[in-house]
Amino acid sequence: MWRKIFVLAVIGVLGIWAWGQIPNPDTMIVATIGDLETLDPAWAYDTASGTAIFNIYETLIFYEGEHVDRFVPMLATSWEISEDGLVYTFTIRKGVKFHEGGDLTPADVVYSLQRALIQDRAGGPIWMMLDPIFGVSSIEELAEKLGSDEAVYEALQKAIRAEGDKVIITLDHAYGPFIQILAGTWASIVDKEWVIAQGGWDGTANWRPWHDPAAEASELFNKANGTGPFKLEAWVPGEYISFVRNENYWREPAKLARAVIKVVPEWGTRLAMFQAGDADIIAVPRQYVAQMDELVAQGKARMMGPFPSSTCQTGFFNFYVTEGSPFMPLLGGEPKPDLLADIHLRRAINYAFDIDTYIKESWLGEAWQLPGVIPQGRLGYDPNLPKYSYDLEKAEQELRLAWDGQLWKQGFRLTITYNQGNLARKFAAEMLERTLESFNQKRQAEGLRGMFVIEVQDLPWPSYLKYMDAGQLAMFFIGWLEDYAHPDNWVKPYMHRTGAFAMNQHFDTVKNVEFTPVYATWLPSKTYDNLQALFDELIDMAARETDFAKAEKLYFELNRLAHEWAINVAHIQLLARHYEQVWVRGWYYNPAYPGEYFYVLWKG
Amino acid sequence: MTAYIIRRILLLPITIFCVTLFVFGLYSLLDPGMKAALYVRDVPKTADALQRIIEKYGLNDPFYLQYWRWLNHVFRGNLGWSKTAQRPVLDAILYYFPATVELVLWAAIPVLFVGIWLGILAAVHHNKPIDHASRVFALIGWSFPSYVYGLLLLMVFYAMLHWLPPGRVSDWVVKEINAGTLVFPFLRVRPPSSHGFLCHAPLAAAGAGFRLGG
Repeated sequence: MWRKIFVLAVIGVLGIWAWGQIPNPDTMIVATIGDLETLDPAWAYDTASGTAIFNIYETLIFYEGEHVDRFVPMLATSWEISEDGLVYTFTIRKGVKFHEGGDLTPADVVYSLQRALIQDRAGGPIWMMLDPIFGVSSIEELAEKLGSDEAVYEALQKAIRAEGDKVIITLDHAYGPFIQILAGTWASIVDKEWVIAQGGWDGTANWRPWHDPAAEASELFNKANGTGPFKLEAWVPGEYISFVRNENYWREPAKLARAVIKVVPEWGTRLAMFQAGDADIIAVPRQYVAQMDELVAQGKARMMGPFPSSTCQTGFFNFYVTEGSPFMPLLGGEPKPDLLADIHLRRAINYAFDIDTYIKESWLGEAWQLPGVIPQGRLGYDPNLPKYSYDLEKAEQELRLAWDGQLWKQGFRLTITYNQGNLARKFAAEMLERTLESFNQKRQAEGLRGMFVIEVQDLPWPSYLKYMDAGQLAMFFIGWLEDYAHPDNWVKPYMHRTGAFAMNQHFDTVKNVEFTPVYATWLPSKTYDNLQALFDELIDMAARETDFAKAEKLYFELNRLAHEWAINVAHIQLLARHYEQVWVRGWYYNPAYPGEYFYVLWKG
Repeated sequence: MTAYIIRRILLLPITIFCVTLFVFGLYSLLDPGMKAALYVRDVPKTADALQRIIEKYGLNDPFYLQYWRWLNHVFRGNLGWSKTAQRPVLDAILYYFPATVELVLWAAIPVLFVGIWLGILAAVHHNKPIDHASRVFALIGWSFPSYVYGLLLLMVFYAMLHWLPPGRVSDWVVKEINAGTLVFPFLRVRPPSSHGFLCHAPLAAAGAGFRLGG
């Protein structure tokens, strides 16, 4: 009896002692879903790689705390932008050491940026820097334009050069978001001598051998030597990546001695790790938040958010479906590639979309509808701009007006596509199918033949991308994750002729567009050759505008036009949550961060 | 019989060749754009992104040229790059193989002992309660999805009791295989991480064993 009581007491005391302890007090452990692709800053374009890189490497400037439009000096102590917005001068910090012992010099900065530009791997992030610096989308395009690889090299030397303790970057055209782009991981500063010693580009005109490598062929694929608060300890692909504190950091060394990001694809295991205290922060997919909220209610976890994330989901209209498409729209049984060029049909689809139900069912309420294309938190967002709401009467009015009444009389066929397995997009497409086809009843009662037929088609990702790239999808649902925290990264993909989506939407199908400014009132009213020409001019103007207030007005104008012309449907901004152990300290939300920034975190 | 075996062995390379030709042929039915899209996770950001990938990997080349390139690599021991494992395919197989071996070995214990013991008991007590019970046990083992069972084990033994954490299996099999004493002496494998959890093995083995033994 006494022995039993004794044993129980010991267990109790141990339990209370263990309960009060923070496991691994100086190590932060994150359990996440996906592994990184590379440690090479110029190659990396996914958030997992970005997270590792921005803890190891540093950029000239960086975001100030939670802000995406305020910057603090990092490897540059100060910077100046010329009045015409073309010349950026950075003074490089002295006394900074790379992890392997090298000193940071202006030559390293020049080399890092030039190395990124010549590497420019296919599908990588470097287009962001090539466009403002050279006005091209790839280094190959520049080589073609200039005629030779030597000429490219000379252009590089002119565009990015060191002068004393300064680095001077000269742009092709003024470009407001350039400073945001320089804060991205692709603009990380590497140690020139060290990279060359690893077999990297030697800094000469013979750059071709280092251009467009496969991920594993890059000399920085699995090693790293930055100036940041953490050094790479180990990367075991598919398992974990770990970091140790840089004791010789130029700022105050980090509070954490170590940080580990574990790859744990299964939710159940991540949750178990969290409950056991073996993970401090875990990735929580939206469908599992209820399980975490239970822990929050018991005081066993902390939830931060929901925050407006940097991801949107949208349904896109193609104004002119390219020939040979298996998804060619029909009007009255005849092929009609420009079916969606009719504004009434696009507005009808917007009115017919039950956005509240979509957000509730597909996103568990963790999203909101945006007016125009720019999300909350960016310049040019205004909640008071008009939005489309679910209104079947208005939808019917617009449907009757489409194609001068022919659409209502003769019926039409439209294929809505989404990528296989994406249930949210499937839900959106099927909801539209039901609503639009429900008008058939009324039409039949009016004695009309021909039907409204909406086909919902899922495609495997490779086919989906291929058809999108060929401009052959008629209407499609997809998402956008911001590259740089600036409205330009929204109006460009959604509206510019070179934009990721807009280039496949053929806005130039709409001719003779009259424009009267509502916000940017200093602009003259004028008629544009086509809708694309109008969008392009305003987008380029906004990106070059150095006056903040004027730029904002231009973005308001673009948002207004996106709504007025109904260039897409169901454009929503997703919200993000963060879950952590109650002992995690220092975390804050910056939507421009690719992941956890360990320097600001500690346990206590 | 010997002649038959020799004939089969001699035919093997031809069979393999035909199979690879067939699989490669199927793959070449895909349009170059679709093949290129396999390299892209996200929406292409520039107009020429997919075109550049097509050129980079020669996805537009005639079938025989692409097949020849692949064959060339294979003969030089290069099975390609595994995007999931982030290492060469051959490396990935050698790296993950010991984990599988260990799991199978541990799982064999409950399979052999519990399984056979239950089987004998059931046979001896034919149509008695013990027979029914073992049948129900086996039925549950077979019909319960292993991922659900795995999650349950994790919840109980890891999240609640803190006994058996998940993670990479122990180094034991890796070392044995490395030393060439276990199963496949020709395999030479780099040990993965040194902080393997021995205690993980029983949990995984219990999971696998229940399925097989049941």
